[in-house]
Amino acid sequence: MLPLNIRTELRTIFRNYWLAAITVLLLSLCLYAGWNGHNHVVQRVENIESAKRTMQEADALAIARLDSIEQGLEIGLATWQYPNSPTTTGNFNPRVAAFEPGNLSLIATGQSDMFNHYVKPTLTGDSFSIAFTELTSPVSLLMGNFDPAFVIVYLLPLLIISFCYNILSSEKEQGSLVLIASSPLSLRGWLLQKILIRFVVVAVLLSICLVLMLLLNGASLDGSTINLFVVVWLYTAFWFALAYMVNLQGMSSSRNAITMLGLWVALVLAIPSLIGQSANAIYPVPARTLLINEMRMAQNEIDKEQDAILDDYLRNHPELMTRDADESTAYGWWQRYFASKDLLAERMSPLVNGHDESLRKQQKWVNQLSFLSPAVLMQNSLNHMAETSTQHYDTYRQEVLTFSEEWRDFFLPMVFQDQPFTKDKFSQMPEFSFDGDGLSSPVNINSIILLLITVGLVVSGFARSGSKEAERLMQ
Amino acid sequence: MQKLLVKKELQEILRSGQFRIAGLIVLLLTVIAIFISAGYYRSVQQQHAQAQSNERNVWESQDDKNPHSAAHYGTYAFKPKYPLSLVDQGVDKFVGISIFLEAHSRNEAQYMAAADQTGLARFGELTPDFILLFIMPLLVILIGHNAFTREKERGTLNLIKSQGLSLHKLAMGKWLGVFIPVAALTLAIFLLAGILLSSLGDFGELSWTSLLMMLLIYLAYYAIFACVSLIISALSKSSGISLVSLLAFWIIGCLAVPKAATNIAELKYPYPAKQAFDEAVAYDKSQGLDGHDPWSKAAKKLEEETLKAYNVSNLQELPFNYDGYRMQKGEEHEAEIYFKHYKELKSIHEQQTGVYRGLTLLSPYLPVRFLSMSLAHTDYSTHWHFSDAAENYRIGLQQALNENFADNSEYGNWAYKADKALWSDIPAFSYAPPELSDVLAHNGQNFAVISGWLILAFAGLFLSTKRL
Repeated sequence: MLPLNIRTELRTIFRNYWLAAITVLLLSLCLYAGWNGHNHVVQRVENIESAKRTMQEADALAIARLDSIEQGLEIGLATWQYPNSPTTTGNFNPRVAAFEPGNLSLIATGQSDMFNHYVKPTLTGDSFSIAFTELTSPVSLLMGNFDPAFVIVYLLPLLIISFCYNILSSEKEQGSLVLIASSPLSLRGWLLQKILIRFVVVAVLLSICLVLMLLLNGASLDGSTINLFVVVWLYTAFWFALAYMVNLQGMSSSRNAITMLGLWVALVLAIPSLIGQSANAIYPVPARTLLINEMRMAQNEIDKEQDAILDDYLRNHPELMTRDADESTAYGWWQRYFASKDLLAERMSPLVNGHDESLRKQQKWVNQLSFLSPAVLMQNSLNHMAETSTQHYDTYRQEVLTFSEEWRDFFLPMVFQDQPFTKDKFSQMPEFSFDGDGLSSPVNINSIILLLITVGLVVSGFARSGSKEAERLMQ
Repeated sequence: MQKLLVKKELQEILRSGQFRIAGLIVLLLTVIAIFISAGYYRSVQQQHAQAQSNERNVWESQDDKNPHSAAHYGTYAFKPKYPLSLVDQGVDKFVGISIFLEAHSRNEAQYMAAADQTGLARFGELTPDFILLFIMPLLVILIGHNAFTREKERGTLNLIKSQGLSLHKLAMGKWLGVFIPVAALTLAIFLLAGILLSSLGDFGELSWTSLLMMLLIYLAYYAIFACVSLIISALSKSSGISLVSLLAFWIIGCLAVPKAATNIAELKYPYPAKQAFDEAVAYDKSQGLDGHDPWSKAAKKLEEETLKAYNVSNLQELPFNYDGYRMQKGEEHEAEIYFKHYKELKSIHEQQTGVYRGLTLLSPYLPVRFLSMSLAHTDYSTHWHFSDAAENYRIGLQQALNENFADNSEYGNWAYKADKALWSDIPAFSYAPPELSDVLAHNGQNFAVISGWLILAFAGLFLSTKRL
């Protein structure tokens, strides 16, 4: 009986225009979204490469100048532009601290449209004032991107809903349910079988679309892609399980559609925004306006202390310090300069850390509540796999700040000891490379939660007992 | 007869559990959203007022110092919030809240709220604009999707037609039946927002005209959705198919097209990367006069020109401190560079806006979203307006400081200190958003598109009911 059922069902599906429609839709949506994601990644790579090219050109120029200086030639620059001054090189030859995209970055824009992917920390720049937000239109940020994550998280459930909302009700409305009920298979079993077949059809189709999308856009298929498929199958399975539950309620097609759409609105739109808002309310990030005030007041106090020591003009323009300055003055001046910077950073650190801490607490809260919405679980998993999650950018920021310290530590001894910067020191300069591998991945736990919810739905649907249930459905 | 039909429709809808439950949920969510937003904005407004006055105190409490040191010390311009931002918070979350105004540099607004939130913030927030723009159209769809299919399924369509009612009147009756409950709900929401806003003292003055304009725009939006719901209901065989098709329309109009527009806009007219932009500015700046660098070619040229203009042989003989004068000329050169580069950014913004406008024909959501944000002063154009105002203030501030330096000291005297009274003599930064008339004039195309949508939607409604 079972194979015949499956054969019949498959035949019905393949003969139905729905399969053609869903194939065309899924394929075009995935390819279009993938292309968008790919463009975004290409732009990011180009920006980084162009910055690196500029850096290499600046390095070559500085090396050539150092060569000339070492040979005792005139280079025709003001003394403060001489690359053998460590402060000059530390400021004018910074490294590109880049955050390169990963293999799957095209699948979810995540936070990548908001934050920048390279910065160039300098010797005298304030580490806490490095701007990490990208120059983007806020309208784009508001509207969001048509990326594969949008297709999977938002649109895929709607396709499933339109594919499944009337499986049982349409049979009832056509009067064929009695016929099915007379077969040896129970109604819930019959429904589960239908849903399973549809799930397999959609999962296979989706996998083909995703493989095509990845290959056409230059992503390679490796272990991480298998993870992606598993997560997507689980999310698909969840929506099919939900469709199963709703169908089992025995309502009319129209009511089923309304119920499922209501659930979609709740799970994809309402609950995520409520979780986000509750995170803001419970762990509010201290007002940035007040941070500015604090910073200004601290700066004011430090400035007043420094006024007695530092020359106003030079403090604003440390690059104008000449090499000819008396050694003890230069040493003393830079020491005071960096001391006042450290003092400011120290005063500001509780506030700056307070911001980071609140953001981390928010993220923890969001992670804890994400089981309330499979859409949130899915989006978080996709962002993580795409390396565009909040945690990725947070870690990148921290690593850049650490690197900025390293950069300073490399140059400061030379500055304080009035040692010239030489050509061979170029190769010893610290390099930045972002390592996001140590980040804790939410993918596995999210997948387990999704699996549990899905199995829970199916089991609770299937467990609703026999003949009375069938009778109810028939009514 | 038509009145009877409208009455019957209304009774049917109001009695239906679907509308009652959904309407109640929407109303409840809106009330929650309005109160959450009111609380949020009240605290933001307080922080803003406090920060602004603190900042002014910090500026005024500087000791006697060289005016150019004060110029480097700089000050902050904080972006104010406006009453209608409670109804539509627009792009506020995605733009910085303050601009640092200092010598030599035009800075970007810093600290966007979204950067201080988790990635979940990108799902959207439960705010009044979210409900007005996304959820209310769904309510319209819920009420209207089965307006005709219901009659078809029950077999009562012929009965109605046999009553001698013209199809136009039938369509209008059905439309009113769908539109009136939603309009009433919208009116209640706006009234609540209006009362709340006028009672919040520290929220600035509420423009009832703008609120009314906003209400009319949203009513037009729902009128369009009501027409589309009826058109699809008239064309569909069953309520289920009608509902699913309408949902497809909703998701295309409200989510897919706006997102696709973003991708098209970003692909065709990309913004430069922040660092690249800064470097391009720095390069252009280095090609001209730097007020701090008396040795550059540009500085030498200025020196010659100045000596010639004042007919003196050396800088000491000038009737002002040449250092201050050069500083001001350098500032003017830098302001020009910024003007040029920001003009390019602005033209990218205009081109991107053009992409969104081009796609308004596919999505009634887009013109409504843009108009609503404009009226609430939470759109990107208002942000540009603010940023330009801050830049003008910065230029004026630098001029006042450099002139004080030039007029009150002699050449080479970097030890000159201005009296601290100067800091409070310079007026504080104040900002007024564009007038309503400017907002309306700027949005002519959006009005035209909404009107076009309305005409098309009603024409479609009458055509589709003809085939019933």
